[in-house]
Amino acid sequence: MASVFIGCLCSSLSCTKLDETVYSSITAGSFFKTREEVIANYIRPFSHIVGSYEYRIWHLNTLTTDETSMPYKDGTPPADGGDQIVGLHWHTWTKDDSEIKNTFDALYRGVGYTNATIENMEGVDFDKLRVGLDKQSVLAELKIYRAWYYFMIMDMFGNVPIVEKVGEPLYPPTSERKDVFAYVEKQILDNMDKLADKGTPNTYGHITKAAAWALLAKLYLNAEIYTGKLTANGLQPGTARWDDCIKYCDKVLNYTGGGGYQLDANWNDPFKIKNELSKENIFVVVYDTTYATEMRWNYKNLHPEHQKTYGFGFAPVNRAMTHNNFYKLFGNTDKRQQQWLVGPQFAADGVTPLKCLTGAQKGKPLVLDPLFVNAPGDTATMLTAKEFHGARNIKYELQKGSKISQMSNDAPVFRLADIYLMKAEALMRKNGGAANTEAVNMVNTMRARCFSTTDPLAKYTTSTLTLNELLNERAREVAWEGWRRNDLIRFNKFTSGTWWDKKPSEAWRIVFPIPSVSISINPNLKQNPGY
Amino acid sequence: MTGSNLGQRSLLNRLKLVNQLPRHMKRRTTCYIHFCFPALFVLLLAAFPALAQNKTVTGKVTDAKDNRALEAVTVIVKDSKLATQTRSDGSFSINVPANTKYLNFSAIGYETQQVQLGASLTLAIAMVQTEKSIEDVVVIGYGVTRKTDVTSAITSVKEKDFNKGAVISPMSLVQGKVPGLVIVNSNGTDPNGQSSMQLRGVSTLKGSTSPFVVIDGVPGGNLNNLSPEDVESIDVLRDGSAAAIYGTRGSNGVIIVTTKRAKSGTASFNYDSYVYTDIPKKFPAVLTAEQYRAYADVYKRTNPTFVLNDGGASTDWFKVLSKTPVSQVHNFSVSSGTDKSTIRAAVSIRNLDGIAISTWRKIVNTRLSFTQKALDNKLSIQGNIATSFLNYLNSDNTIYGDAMDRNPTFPVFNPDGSYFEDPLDSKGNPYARRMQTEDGERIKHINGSVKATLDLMPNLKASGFFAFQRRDAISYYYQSRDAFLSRINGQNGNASRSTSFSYDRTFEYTLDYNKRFGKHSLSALAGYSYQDFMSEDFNASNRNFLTDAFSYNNLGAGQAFAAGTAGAGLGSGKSSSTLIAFFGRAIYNYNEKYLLTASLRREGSSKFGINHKWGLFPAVSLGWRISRESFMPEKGLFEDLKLRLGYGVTGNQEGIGAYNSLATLSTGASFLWDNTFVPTYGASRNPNPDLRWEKKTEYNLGIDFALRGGKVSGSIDLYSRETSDLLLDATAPVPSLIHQTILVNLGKMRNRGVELALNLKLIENKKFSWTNSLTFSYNDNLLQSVTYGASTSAPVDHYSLPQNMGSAFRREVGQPIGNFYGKVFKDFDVQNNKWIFYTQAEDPALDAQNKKIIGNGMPKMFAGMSNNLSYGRFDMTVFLRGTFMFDLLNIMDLVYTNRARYSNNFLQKGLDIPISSYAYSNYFIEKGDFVKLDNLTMGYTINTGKIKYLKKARVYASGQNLLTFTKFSGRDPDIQVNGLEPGLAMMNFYPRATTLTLGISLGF
Repeated sequence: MASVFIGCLCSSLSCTKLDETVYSSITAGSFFKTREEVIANYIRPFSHIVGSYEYRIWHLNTLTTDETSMPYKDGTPPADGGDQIVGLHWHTWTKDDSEIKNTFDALYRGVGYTNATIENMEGVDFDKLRVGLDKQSVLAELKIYRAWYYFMIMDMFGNVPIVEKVGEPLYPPTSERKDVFAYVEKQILDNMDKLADKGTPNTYGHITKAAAWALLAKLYLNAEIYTGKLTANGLQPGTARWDDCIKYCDKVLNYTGGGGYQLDANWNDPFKIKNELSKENIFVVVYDTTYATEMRWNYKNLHPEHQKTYGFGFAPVNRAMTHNNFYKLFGNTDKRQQQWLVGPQFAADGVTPLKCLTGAQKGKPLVLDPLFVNAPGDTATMLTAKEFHGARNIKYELQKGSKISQMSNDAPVFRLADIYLMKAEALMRKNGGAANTEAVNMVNTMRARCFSTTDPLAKYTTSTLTLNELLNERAREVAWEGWRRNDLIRFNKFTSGTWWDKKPSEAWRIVFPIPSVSISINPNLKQNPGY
Repeated sequence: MTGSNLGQRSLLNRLKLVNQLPRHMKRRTTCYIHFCFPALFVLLLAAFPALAQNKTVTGKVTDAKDNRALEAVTVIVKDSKLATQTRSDGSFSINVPANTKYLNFSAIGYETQQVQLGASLTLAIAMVQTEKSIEDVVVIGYGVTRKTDVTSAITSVKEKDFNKGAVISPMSLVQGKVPGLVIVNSNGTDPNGQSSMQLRGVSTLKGSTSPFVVIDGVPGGNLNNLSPEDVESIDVLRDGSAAAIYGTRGSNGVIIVTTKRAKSGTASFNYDSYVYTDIPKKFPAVLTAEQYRAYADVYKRTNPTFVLNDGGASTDWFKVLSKTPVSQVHNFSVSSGTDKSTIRAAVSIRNLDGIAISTWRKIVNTRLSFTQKALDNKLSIQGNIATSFLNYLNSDNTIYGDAMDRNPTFPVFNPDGSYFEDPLDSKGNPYARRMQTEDGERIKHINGSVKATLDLMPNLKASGFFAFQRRDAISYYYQSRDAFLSRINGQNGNASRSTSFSYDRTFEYTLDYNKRFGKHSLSALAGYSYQDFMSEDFNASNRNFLTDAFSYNNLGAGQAFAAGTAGAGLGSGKSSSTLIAFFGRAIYNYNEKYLLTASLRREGSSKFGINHKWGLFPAVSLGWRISRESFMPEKGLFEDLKLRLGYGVTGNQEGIGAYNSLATLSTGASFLWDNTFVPTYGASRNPNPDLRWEKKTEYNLGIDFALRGGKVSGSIDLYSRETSDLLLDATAPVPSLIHQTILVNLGKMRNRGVELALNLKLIENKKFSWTNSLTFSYNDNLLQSVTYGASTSAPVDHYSLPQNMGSAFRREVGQPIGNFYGKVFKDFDVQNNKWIFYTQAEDPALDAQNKKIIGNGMPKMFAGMSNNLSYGRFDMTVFLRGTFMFDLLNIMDLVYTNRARYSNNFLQKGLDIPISSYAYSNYFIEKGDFVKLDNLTMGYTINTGKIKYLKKARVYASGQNLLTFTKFSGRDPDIQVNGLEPGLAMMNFYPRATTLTLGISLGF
């Protein structure tokens, strides 16, 4: 008895105190006590994008174009979205699509993580904790990193809200696309001088000076689109900024910090497993088979039978394929054609044919056929395609014998070859759409590595390099890098274009809808015109 | 004396100290005094004056009713320690100080009498039996009240009315006995099965639907470590006006369990034992081996390439997986009591055996309770300590699901005695899997409580209560290297262990005031309650063992952990929370005619958001005993007639976990730093500073009645309860938040219903009696709104059906919980092997997906009827229980009638379905209504009059779940109907059984 009462006398209870004591959880108040803790939160936003960059963001920017498709295969709907994935191809997506909502959320969640980290970093005393980083530089980088998210959001969703603090305001209002453009531009211009140079430790996968310029160049290249007005009849173009684009391309091209950037020797060097060694990649999303996953082209692109070719410890799922509307852009002498697997497929020994696994073709040799569109006797559509239809992309180097259906190749966001093409395009557009020598030189310099030195097809002239040809060259160079939608819109071919069983779509589909669920929660959001 | 003075002084010093403390410490110190409260007992001890000069008082004490002499009545000089007891003839003699003015006479079961000493020193005292004899007392939380004073819907079930026979859980004792309380043992007599409870429908979208349990005053008591034999009574606070005294935990109703205590003046030893077995009732009719082989020819007509995979045996897989269990329960208890102290000790040993192979549960429970009076009966101390040791092998219901899916021509064993496995199989031999897997847990519970009550003044009592509950568990799991799944997944043995520890403490202090003045009677209560909770856990798992020899006993021997491969890992966690409340209640009664009860609880939880830490839970209820009005005829129809009206606000906080309102950080995906991948830390959830309890407001209108002659009595209650601030993981606004969901309070739900309890004494004479008690309840549920942000949330489809058949349920505003949503069957398209469903064009009630609400799994109506008959020394109980007005989705048929499963097996019913294609529609929805002969018990009480040492002896036989009357075509319609996904007849199941029990009860 006595001890019980003594127990309650001595207990440290307090009669109205209801604060929570955390144990296996952390609150912000109990964190940011050491350098390691500060860094762990500083790099949190960078690991967020990994799950969606080569996944849903890529889907929306690529499966909506002629570049590649994920059709039904022998009656089996595509995974990761089913009919919504088919709808991307046909341009019949709706504001109710969960795939669009998830992409929208993934991007804004990245904004949220960055907002939270900026707020946290502002409260940290970098000197006291001996973080070993320049606080202003860290904050500048995070703001430009956030600007990159807003660049993608504005590019994909048009008129969107701008939020700089988590939960404030809880229901942010929509901003006009041109205002988001101006916001992104200002964020970069205000902060880019504080960024680190190439080669500074711990800047791989981060925004360095050249990455910020590349982002600005991309922004200005599309300025006419982004500053235009979205209407139910399509876009009323805004103001072009070709000179600004050229200016920042030049800054990258002439950059010498950390040795500057050079074109890699081979066309596929930027996509190797160890592409952190590339001299060409300016900004990448860092992937790893274990720690930073969702780069899964070894799993998504190949046929299950390819397991025998590459000695994988898993069977690929044969999801993405490319048809002749795009495949035919690659000439036979262009080394970049090697990124496509076509024709009869063999096991690792090079002689044992791989077999088809389903339907009427079961047991027959697997012959990958990209030329089926409008081929006599082949009526395959997105709903009726078979396992052997289409070419398979292997631009990213595959790790033979991999036990894990993940890849360690990093995904280039900005790389020097793209800067060459961007500058060439800006020069041509400034020149009324015609190429000048400088533009031709840019393209020829960039693509020289893709041809033998004696190949007559290697070099453009001012007469052969038309704007359309430049678009095709972009297709060949930046295929699988998630730029096709952006390019087709700039060349006004995204909605009006046709490929395979995709028909012309409504002009307002140059942006995706604001997800209906998001609008139902946040009444301050406005739907994009047309939807 | 000196010591007491010291105590007094030191307390005063402390009080002085408070005033000298710096201001910022004062708040803590006030609380300190609150916890010093027990010291008051010590202080008061010092307050009794000494006595001098004597006189002798003598007399006799009798029972006022029948004038018999009363033995062991305590005679005590008021405000002193001087006392004596009456002898067997009722006489007493006591030496008292000359200045003595009052003598107090007290005895258990009688009203204490205070007698003023006049000139006469010889007294004749007639003691009046207390009205609060056990039958008339209702436990209401923080106290008891007379049944006649009750103004809320409360059902009190005493031991004599408990369900008989084999009882797994204490709540089975009152299954069907409390109107509105639905208890489901969805696994029947599975020794590891848990009963689920729900009162007056579902009133949450996220939290638990289970009523709040209080055991001997311990809030949040654990029923799992309580032996049913130790329970004396179960009181259920059904409506909000009664439950509001439990604040944030009262919304689902409150169940108050009171355990047995020794009675004064008794000494007994009881031994109760029973043994029971389970006989499985009905296994699903899959193809037998003969039918299976015969079907091959039929199947080949449509599948010409099919080759029968004949294992050469004829195996009834259900039989292989089942055994005939024998379970035993032994309960020993000793109790003894004097007027000053009582003690009861009980040990219960329960070896429960399951029908399923490798399924059992062994329990040893002990419980010790005592009461002690001191300070001239002014101080009473009650204590309980209970331990429970459990050891069990987990029930694995998937083996029966897999048995349905198993080729009946496969043997269990190969000729060499090893397990037969088919190389083309995906699940493996279920018998082998069970035998190759050890999966169990050992749990220790230790609970204790002590309550001290002190009479401060004749009408004022102060109590201090402390309780703790502690649970330690360690689980073990090992699957052999040879197990089929281990082999095909390359696990090479799979071992894991986990431990968990939880501990909660309760401190409660109350003041009770009872006063009767003239026609007014008041009983008031004020109190403070503090409860904190802590839980910790740790787990480890590993794979890739060289040998099975270690089993789960040497996790380090596995290679997977070191290699960093899948299936190996470590985890641990710890969390805590606190609940604090201030409460008060007044029960007022004017002339035994007009009754008023009002209570208020102010309660806060650490789990609530910073903006809503504290909630207020008021309740008012009124009673009018019409039968006592003068306008009611004196010898009229009603002996008792009472009208009750109650209003109460309660909360439910079960849906909120610790830290759910806070901005916490957790690890995200790794990122590069210094050329290696390091973990990152970022926001782990959207914080919600507004997070709070679900709030329920309930109105209750009730009538209690008893017809003259005592043959008919009962009660009727009508209620309407509305829950607002429903908790739900809502879609969050992204932007501006980081995570896609946020736990918020939104939405409203309503339950309305009627409940009836009726007790009939049909026959009552010396030889033969027959009483009948009936309960009935009807509940109507409606989800009124779910709104977050700008608009009403879209309907939510939930419970994914197997084989990609979509979701079973749709939850939407304007509809009740438990709606089945799907297509409507029209015909079979045999040609194309497809189902034909009605389309919107044919039936405008269908929506664009050609779907509509095709049933509801939540029963609207429940009824129970128990008949107690006795003839001489024979007694018999017949208990019928029914559930009505609901539908069941027969998932078992939905999947296993498909003949496409022929390579494994399918239900014989499937032969009547001309196609073999999976689709969810109303074709598989059936009416679930049933009536069960739930319990038939016959007993015989042996005449022990001539047997030395034996005071009582009874033998009985009981049958449970004997008959089921239903149109449902599946196994047993008595399945899970509580919660948010009611009425699913599952593929995986534990066999339902008829239970036969033999028992004996001896008293020495």
